[in-house]
Amino acid sequence: MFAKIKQVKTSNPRTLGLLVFVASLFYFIDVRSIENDSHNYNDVPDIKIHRILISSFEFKPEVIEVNVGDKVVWINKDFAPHNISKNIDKTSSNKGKTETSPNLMETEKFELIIKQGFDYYCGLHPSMTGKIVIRNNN
Amino acid sequence: MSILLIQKNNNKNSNAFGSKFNQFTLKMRSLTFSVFTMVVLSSCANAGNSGDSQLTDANIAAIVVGANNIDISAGKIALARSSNPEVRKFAQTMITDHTAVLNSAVALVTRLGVTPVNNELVAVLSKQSSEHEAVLKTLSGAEFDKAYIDHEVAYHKAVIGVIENQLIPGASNKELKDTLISVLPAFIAHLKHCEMIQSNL
Repeated sequence: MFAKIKQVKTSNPRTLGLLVFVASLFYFIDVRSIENDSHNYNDVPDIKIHRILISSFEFKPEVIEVNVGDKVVWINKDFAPHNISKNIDKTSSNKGKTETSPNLMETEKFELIIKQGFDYYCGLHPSMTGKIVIRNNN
Repeated sequence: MSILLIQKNNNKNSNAFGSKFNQFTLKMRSLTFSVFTMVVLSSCANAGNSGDSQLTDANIAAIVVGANNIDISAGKIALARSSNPEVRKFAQTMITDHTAVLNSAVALVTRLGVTPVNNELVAVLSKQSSEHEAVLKTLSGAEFDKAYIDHEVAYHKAVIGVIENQLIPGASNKELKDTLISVLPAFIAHLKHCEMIQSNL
């Protein structure tokens, strides 16, 4: 085994260098993934994923209660495209402005980490409405 | 700014009679459509009930294809003629959604081996549609928007009535019946959407 490496070294130092480099990459990847795992488990206590189905031109459930930091996933089950739009015209300079997700085709989904509650609707079919409510933990 | 306002008011005054008259004729046209369509549709429904002209799946396929094509065609005219962002968004949604319904309906009847067969109702719908399109093509601006949206409201009401009362009960094939049931919420969402626009025009 040593002889073989020696042979490689003598015949082509570049190859050996590459071998060492690749081996060191594996070492670092290994250590990093372990570190990430322990980090995740310690610092992120209770994040939940909530699913909202878009079907028959309705958001189901229409109203959903979540904690700040939870993830909401909308999944389109309809044949028609839908999106998630919300008005952001709280100040006069933003009047009429909206924030809109990409249009979701059938089976496509859209994810959002919730920082605050809001009312939303489908920008393509404004009669479809929904509401994200922040849970009161007190 | 004040000069602009005065000019605007002057225009308004000078056109007051003309625009009121136009609005009146437009209202009459859309009312005529609604009343006429409702009468025809209810007479078809009665004929169906008495057993004289039961709808076949081939008739239902033809009605679905025809009704979707009519709304796609009107939507294309609206995109070409309207500059109102809400009206344009609605028209684009009509084109997208009704194309999707049309494609799935065509795929289904092809798979089932059903060839669409026109009937009285298809003939009436298509005659109404060409007359309506001819009127739309003479209008522009706010007059166009009003005529297009008023007609969309009446049309969606009429088509929802046909799907609920005639097509769903009349369909023999279960897949065709299920498809009709699944597209109904789309038509209802469209009706609510154009009623929202109508109330702001």
